[in-house]
Amino acid sequence: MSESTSTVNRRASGLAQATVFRRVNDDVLATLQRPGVGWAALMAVVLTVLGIAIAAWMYQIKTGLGVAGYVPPVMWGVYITDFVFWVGIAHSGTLISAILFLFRAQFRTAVYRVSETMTVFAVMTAGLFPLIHLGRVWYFYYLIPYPNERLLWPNFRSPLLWDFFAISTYFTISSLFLYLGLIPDIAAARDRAQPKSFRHRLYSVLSLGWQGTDSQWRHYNRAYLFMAGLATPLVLSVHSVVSWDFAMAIVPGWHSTIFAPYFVAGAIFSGVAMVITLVVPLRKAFHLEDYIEEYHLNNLAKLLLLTSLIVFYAYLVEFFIAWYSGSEFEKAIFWDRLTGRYAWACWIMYICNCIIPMSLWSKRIRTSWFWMFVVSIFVNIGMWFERFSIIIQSLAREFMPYQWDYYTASWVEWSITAGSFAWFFMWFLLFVKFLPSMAIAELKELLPPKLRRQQEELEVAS
Amino acid sequence: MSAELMEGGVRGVFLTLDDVAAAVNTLENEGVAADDITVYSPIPTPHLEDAIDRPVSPVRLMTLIGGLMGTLTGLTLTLWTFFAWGLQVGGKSIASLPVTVIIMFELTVLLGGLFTLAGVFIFSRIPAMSTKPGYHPRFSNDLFGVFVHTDDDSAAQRARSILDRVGAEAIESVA
Amino acid sequence: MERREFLKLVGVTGAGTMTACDQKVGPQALIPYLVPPENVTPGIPTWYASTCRECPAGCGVHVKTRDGRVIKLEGNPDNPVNQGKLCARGQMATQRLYDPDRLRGPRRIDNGEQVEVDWGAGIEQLAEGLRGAGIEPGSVVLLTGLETGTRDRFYDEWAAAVGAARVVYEPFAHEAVLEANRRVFGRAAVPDYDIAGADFVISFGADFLGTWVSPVRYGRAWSEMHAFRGVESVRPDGEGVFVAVEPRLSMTASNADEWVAARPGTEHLVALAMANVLGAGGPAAGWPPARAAETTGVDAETIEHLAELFESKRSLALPGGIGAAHRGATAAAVAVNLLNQAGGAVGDTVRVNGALTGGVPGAYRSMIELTERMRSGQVKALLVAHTNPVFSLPPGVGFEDALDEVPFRVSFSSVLDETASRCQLLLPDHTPLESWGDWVPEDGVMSLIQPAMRPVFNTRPTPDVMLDVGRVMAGDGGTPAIEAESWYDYLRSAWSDVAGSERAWAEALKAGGVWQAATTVPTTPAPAAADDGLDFGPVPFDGPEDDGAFDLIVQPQLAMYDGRSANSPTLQELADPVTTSCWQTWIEVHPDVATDLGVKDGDVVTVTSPHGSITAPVISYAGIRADTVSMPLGRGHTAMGRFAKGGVNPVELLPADVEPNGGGPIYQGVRVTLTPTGAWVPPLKHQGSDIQHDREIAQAISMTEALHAEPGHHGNGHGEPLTVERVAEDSGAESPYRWGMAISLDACTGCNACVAACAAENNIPFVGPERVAKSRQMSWIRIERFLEHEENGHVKTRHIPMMCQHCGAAPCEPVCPVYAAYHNDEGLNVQVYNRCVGTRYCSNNCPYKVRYFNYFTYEWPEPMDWAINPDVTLRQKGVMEKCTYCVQRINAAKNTVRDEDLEAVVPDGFFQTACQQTCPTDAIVFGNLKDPDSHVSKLSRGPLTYSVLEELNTRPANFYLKKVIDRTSSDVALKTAGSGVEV
Repeated sequence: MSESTSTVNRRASGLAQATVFRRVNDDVLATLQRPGVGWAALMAVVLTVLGIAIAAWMYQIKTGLGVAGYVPPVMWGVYITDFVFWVGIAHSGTLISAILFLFRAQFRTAVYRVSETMTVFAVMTAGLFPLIHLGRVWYFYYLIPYPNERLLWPNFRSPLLWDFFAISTYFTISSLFLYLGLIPDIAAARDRAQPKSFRHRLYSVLSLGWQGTDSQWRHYNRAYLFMAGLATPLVLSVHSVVSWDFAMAIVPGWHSTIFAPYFVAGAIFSGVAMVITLVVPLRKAFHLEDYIEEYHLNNLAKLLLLTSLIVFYAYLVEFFIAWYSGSEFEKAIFWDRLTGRYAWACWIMYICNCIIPMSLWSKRIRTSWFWMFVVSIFVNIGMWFERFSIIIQSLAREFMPYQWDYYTASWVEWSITAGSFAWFFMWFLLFVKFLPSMAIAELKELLPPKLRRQQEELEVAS
Repeated sequence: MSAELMEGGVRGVFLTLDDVAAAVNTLENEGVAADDITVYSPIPTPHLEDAIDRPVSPVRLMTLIGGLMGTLTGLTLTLWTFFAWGLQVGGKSIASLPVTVIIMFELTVLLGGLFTLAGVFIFSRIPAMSTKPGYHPRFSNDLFGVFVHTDDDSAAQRARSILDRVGAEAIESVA
Repeated sequence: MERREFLKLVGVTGAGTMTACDQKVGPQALIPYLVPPENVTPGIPTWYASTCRECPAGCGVHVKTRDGRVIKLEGNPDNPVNQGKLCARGQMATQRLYDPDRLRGPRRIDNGEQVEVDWGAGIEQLAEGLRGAGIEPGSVVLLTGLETGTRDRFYDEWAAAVGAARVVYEPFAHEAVLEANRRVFGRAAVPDYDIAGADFVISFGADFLGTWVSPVRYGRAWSEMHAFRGVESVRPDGEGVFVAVEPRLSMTASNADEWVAARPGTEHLVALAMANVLGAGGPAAGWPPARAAETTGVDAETIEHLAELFESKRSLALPGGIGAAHRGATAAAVAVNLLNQAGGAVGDTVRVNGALTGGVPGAYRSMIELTERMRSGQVKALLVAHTNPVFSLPPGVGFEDALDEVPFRVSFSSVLDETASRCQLLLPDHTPLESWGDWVPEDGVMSLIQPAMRPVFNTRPTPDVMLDVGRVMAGDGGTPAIEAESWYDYLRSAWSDVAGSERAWAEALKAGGVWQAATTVPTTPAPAAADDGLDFGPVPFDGPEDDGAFDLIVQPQLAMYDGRSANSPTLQELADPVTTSCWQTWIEVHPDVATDLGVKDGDVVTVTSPHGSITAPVISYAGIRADTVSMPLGRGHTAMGRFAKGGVNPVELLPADVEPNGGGPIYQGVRVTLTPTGAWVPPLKHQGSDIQHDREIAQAISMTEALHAEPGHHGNGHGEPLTVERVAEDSGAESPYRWGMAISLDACTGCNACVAACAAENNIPFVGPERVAKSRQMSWIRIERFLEHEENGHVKTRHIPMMCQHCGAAPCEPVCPVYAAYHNDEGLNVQVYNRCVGTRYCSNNCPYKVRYFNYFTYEWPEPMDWAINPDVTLRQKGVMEKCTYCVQRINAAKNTVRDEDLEAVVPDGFFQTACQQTCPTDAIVFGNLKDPDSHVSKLSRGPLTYSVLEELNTRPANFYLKKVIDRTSSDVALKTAGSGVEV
């Protein structure tokens, strides 16, 4: 039995057990009250930043990709960095909801809804960048395989096309998975909402008339299990495919067999960090202290520590292989990564991803909301710079010394990067106000099955 | 034909899980057809599934079909494209199997997922435009419910008495 | 494009080519085709033989026109000067023709304001001015650039007729060499140097592969002497050796087997000392190697060894260039002549017959005198044609100020250059591609200049203007100065004895001229004392003596020459062969000096000489003496057009005094101090890293090994011996072709002609300095130049032309998600622009980094876009592009052959790619690798052949032949003590 449920029991003592169920509904659905000033202010900021980013993109489309900072041979820059970063963020979501579901890890229940939504929104963000970075975005549909009069079919050999399939599949499945989990809770929201009110109508439609009959639950449980089963290999595959964008190329510093596991670990690492970054303020804002507790934080922190160690290991292996391969080009690249003009990016990444997370060996930090928030921010930064130095530094000093050069991003790239965060948080803000950010039904399931015997004991006690 | 499609019957409201289980068992022992009984629960608990024995959900079949279709689509799409174009790239052979595997995998998951969801929708009769009279808003909150479909008053009477016996908090007829 | 322009254009298409030989076509020509002229097939280019006038060398060209517009120049194979080859500036002559900033018609300048006038008024005003100038001798001055042949004679006659004095000025007029040759050989001309015939060439500062006298001709000759074409081609006494004696590793020196870095102004002492070793008397007697060693910084051993080489081989010593542009220039040139005499080269490799006409005795001195006369008010009218002294003369001369003393100033320049903008009347001439004329680059070679298209603007041939003025001044009934209907008639009659009959004339036009054996020119025997009044000692440089100061070398820049090409954006963007910089004027300093000054590439320093001070960004270059700095000429225009503005003009640092004997300018004569300003500008270098980092990109092999190299050890040893079968795998089984290229690093001089030719052929846009700063230049072919630092401190250079390798296993192809890059049946790596969506993955995955991305939609300002080659697609923003092996030429060739016989295969050498066609040294060979007997196929299997980055197994279709080094096979290693090039 988990700590969380026991607390709920404790707080329930003396009350009629029935009220315990009700409290869960009350507390969780309380998050859906009409938005306050703080929320509105945040939304305003987010929309402004997003507006600037959209303007910047329009400018780039009109003028040409040259307004970004590209300096040949660095043909991929901050856009692809952002892409990989967001895909990474998208990972822990399905990991927590699907894989931990299969492993019956109960601590997931409190946070999986948040991480799932995070997943969906992160994929929505990541999916923008392959478009933004295209030279001729108005022809992006050339990548889509459908019968067309141009007789133009994509080249399935290109890792970019694998990306296209992997990302769109991942987006579809994780959205469905999220929605499936939401249906009973939306029904709960529906039943609480003022009949005939906007929310009531909204939730009636979204809940699809869910009633929680025995047969509905039966199919539901099956489906949930299989969705989890499908999503699990998908989580691992998506970032492997993304890593192949690089591993399949001959670029020294990219062309490496360790990339798939290395990127998956990195993705989970950054994803978990982002979950923490989101959950900590959420818990404060909506007073969910009873549901999200040190216990959850601690487990997330352990996951963070584990993945940090894997990533650290991957870094070391890269250097070993570079030396062991005996390839001049590999050696040069990795030596330059440590000492060259891009060394700063590389060292930011080592400090944020390998050194700082080592503090998580201490339980005091693992269970401190403040410090975990700080650490998670550092990890986010570190993981962004990991992608930055892998992509850009490797390209900047490729095979031909004649072409070596140094890339710096332009204001357009920076504003679009900022805009991607705005875009992500816009959706997240909408989500917390309109959908239950915790799984009501599953939380209640964690409570001890209500039995008459208990009931009588309680009555005696009172 | 499943219960919640029928109008008219008796609804017992319960506070606790064991009462619900007991109620269902008793009803069935008293000879009420399983199809006439509908249990409403706020939680997806296995206890109920144990209490009421129903065949395993056919959703898994949908998943299988979807998955296989995806695999097949992936294979044909890639191979067809390779040969339809017949373009040489990178001094490699026209068609490449490892590549098809990736696409096959992605499409397997994609169609598998879509079919699974479709399964839920079809089998649990959603989307439904409105809730049935047997339903009560608190069934999504803190109460359990057992709805027994009855054709005539005598049946209704029997149902009422059984529900009463197993200790329903409240019993009401719905039409 | 405006409607009028359009109509004109239609008129051009209608009548241009048909009437190009007849200037008198009325407006009725402004009608579209009704009956197409029979000599114009739409889509088929029409070629005109003419002569390049981008520099005095006068190479023969074939001008390619499409629908009446000039779109490209190629060398005229029949012309003995360049034999079908052309340099970068020649290739870009179109951009001077279509210069958007050209004067579009006659103008009057009233206090700074340009006022359009019609030709009648212009000529009236000119006549007025001339009358007003009075008739006392010298009151009217006709100042022209170097002219040869008929136009030269016409100017003289006309000047005489109107009582004007004629002055000829050319910034690089080789005054010292001419004077020295007058003294030694009795003829003031640049002799016919038989570089090809020599086995040992030593140059004392002459940049003969880049800018000196006749670079294309010399480049060709040099490759005949020097380029290793396989064992069988090696001469009995070994392959040729070339040594350069100069303080800076210029492009020419970078192709030398040894670079002897003598102190600036002492190069000739090495020559004297060599002559001394060879037992010459006279001035040489005073300079034994030991003494020369102290002064020059070249140690005696080296000098003796060079002398040995000079004696043992059929040798040639070249004077001139930076070695003969200082206060002792004449002495220096004489010294080199003496060496030639002592080595028995005179009459053998140095021939006074067939001498070149590129040179003007005492040109600079005559400008000084002219300036004097102007200042003293003796000059009432100044007529300037085809020269730009305000830009080229050191400010100290005071020419610009003296202009104010001249009441009436006329310019015939076709662009508003610095001098023209100081005139009151502008009567723009045609550009050479629109004009009639001829050019006599050397004895016996008479090349014709004919218009290849109708004039782009409302310009008029200067001689015609002069004839009209003559008529006007003669007044009614009076007889004009020169009896000629028009300049064309004058030219025609001038040629009457060479090509009198219409038929002969037509033949001459078709051939591009008439070439005869050089007539023997009587020369006065060498006077006993050629060295009268010459001081052979080290040359004085003014400026501070202390160590903080540096000797300044100012040399013409390959792309800019004397600055006349400065408004050609493509030439501005051309990578300098030495620094790979562009669009600006930089100052080259030795890396150690840069460290001492605490500056890095791009840091701006103030360069101060006793005569002036300018600022320029530093570029550190290991190929220059530590006590010397160098700046390129030709940039820093204040007028002339939008593209010419960049950079500064180093002549502002130069002294005004004249070299006493030859009367030439002092380009090497000041010491300067450098003070960092703290500012930084992008160095605009095309090249990222100057060294190879042991990546074996440009490979070399010693001569000894080369002579015994066995085929099979392909490249760096990683690869298998190449077979035709193996090559065949890289293209469609049923296709008879696998196109490929073989490039000889031993022949490549790094002259960038191929780069310009590619730009002209393939519509490659210029991107401008701010984009070059981001390495976004588009050139499909580039010359990578790598510095090799040897243990003994020598710096050697290797040039390697790099373009798409059309790999058999191309990494760029499979990564493209939309099949925009794929491998076609003929083994070409094809880029389909319309399919490209711009993921740029292909470029990331190209190990050779030869794919170029259109970050913007690049455009040419009208009318520069008239030069667009209609056979090559223009690329839109967002698509990737790269070398296509001139696929349009491949297809044209296939079509031509197929017209004859459907089954026929394009024979070897049937056509050439643009780069191959123009390469002065034939370093590039293109052809069908599947044909075992084709030239390229044989080379691809040769012993010196390798592929770049072979270990990646990309199976490139580009093969490279290693540079052959260590030719001075001798135990006496050449040392350049004190050259300060240890690294």
